[in-house]
Amino acid sequence: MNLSGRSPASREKRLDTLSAYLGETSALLKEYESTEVDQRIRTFSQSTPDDVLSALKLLAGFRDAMTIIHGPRGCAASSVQLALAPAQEGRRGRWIVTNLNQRETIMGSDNKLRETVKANYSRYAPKAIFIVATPAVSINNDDIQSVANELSDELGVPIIPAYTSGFASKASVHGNDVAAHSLIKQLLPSTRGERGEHVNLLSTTELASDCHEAERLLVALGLESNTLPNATSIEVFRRAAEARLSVPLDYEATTYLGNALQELAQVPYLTLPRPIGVVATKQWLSGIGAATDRVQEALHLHIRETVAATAILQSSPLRGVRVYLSLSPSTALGVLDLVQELGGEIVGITVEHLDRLSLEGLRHYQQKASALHIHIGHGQGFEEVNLLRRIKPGLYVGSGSHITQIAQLGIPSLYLPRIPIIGYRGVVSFAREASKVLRNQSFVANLAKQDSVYLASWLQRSPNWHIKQEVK
Amino acid sequence: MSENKSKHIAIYGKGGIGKSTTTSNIAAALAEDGYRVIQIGCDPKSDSTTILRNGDELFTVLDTLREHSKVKLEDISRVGFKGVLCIEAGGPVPGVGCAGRGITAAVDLLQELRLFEEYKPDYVLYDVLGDVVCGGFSVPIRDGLAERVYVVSSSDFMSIFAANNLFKAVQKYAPSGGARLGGVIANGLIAPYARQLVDDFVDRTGTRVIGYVPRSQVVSQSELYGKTVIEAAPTSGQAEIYRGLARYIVEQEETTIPRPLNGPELKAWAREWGDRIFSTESGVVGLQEAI
Repeated sequence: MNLSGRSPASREKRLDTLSAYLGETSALLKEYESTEVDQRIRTFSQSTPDDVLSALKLLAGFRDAMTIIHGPRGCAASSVQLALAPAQEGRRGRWIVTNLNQRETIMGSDNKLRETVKANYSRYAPKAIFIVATPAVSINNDDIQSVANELSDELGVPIIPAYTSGFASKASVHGNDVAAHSLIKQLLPSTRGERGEHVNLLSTTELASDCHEAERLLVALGLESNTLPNATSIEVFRRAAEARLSVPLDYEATTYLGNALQELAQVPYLTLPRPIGVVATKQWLSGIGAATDRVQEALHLHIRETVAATAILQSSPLRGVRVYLSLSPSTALGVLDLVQELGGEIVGITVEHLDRLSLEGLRHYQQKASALHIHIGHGQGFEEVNLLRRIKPGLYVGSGSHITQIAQLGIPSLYLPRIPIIGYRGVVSFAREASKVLRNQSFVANLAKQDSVYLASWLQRSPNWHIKQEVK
Repeated sequence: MSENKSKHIAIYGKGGIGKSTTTSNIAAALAEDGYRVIQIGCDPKSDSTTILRNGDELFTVLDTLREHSKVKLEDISRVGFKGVLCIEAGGPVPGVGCAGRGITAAVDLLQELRLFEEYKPDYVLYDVLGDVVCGGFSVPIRDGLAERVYVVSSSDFMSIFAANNLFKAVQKYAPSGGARLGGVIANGLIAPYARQLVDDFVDRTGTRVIGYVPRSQVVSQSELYGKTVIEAAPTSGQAEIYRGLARYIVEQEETTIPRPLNGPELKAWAREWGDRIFSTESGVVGLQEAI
């Protein structure tokens, strides 16, 4: 792992990440198994989050730190949205924006950044200050590093720049890697204490209840959980270097961090699926059990925990329901199993991006539903509306704001980000929430009486009309 | 000679002052002495390394990035005189885009390709356009890429002005890990007062001249043949001057943080020299000088 650069190479270069595709899963798998994956472009794209947003989400997880969004005020809009998210209340650090004006973008804004850091340090005394670069300061290559170096010494706290740009990668998930790169570079202790017994539970944006469920399972195995970087502290992050091992709650977002801890601090990183659904949770526990000499304990725990979940599985509201998923790849491939455990039938998936980290899951998807296509798009409401008018699923499970457009098609829609899905308790809550949505069919039936936001002529086009192979 | 850590050196100067010629000749002289050298042109004109590679075609880093999604080192480099690895960052065509941003992107790509780890050079020379015009052009000195900076300057005021601007950037970034100044290369000197003028400027700014390069027809002839002086006229006095610069860079690693003149100081200094040159050329005899 090369930490010498300011930020990691783009996710496309490291992991062949795709952000646009609609077609056969098998053809895509073949491409990934060959040497080069062809990038696709969108000739029309709706609002897509960028890497700045992902980095902000990850860094906001440090409750005792502060984030300075370095750019014009509009660049902080995403943090307003994050701050308003009710599920995250009390779990996030403070943030502020430098609010650059035209003069500062031309003449350089290091003085304003310096003043912002000092003022906020004296007011709030955070344990660390993150400076998140936005497209404006990336384009003019504003000087962040010398301010960070100078004030780290002067104030005696780590001032950590995260060099996101909004354009280095098309995949928002890249921002997680940029943030992890900066954290590892600046916060990992140069000398490590004795190896502890704690286990790093790597989580970025999971709900508090999902983190608690994973922590509960680790404790039940007799392990101490060190959860980071979600709702964490600088001290907890530093302890990560002394952990016994690291396990991911979402490998898509935390593999860069896990690999860095493995390579630089010799903390083994377990490659495990998201513990969503009974089978994957068993795999997750078994993997941890095998790495910590707790194989039998993991098996017994699984048997005990499955009792409550079995009742739900047997009386599942999803039995026979045709389900479409539109989620991050790791979540989609996890929920896919859960839906099938609950008796539902998967009729298609949209993933926000796809890369080599999810290839195993993609193979699994192809084996289970070989005739199905895969759609890759983040925030592409039009493409999904066009697809779903044809597929007509009985339930849509999504995480994008365009879920309202899907509901307007008369399709019962479940907004997943607010629903606990991790572990055995996740099975219960997911089934309960899906049941509520499926019972209230009149809600979407009424919504469907409204006119579509898209013109009929647009909807006559094929769903992949705007996705083209990049020709160079 | 490749066991030591690579030495990264940035050479700045006003456009058209002869820094690409100087840099290429230094690169050639270093290569002639057996060092492994990389020269990276950081100028949208993309002509920094032309005379090292006999004018052979070389796609710039940014052109190649536009054409291919995956770029390999061999796509963007040519081996020139005595093994000097030639690379041109490139940039947008005039009137569009952002050349500074291009340099940042090109440098990022070279790091991703692990150029320095793979090629293991003794010296990396960055030939950078003009004075510090924006954040992009300061990347080689600011982001810890180069440890030493040399400035090519003639005795023209605009060239001195550009050098002074560069000193400001070095002074600003050196304390936080940026490059420090190795010295000034006085280039293209013709006028009788040229040497004294440059000497006076470096005295005032706490720097030094590491070599004087007079204007020479040998340089022009060599360039017309698409070669460095080291290659085209290896026994000439001009070639010896470039070899002297290369030796200095190898042997003298001492650096300074310059004290650039502020606006009024630079203006007053220029006026003072204007008066002196006028006096000399118009034959004004000072009071004491008549005795």
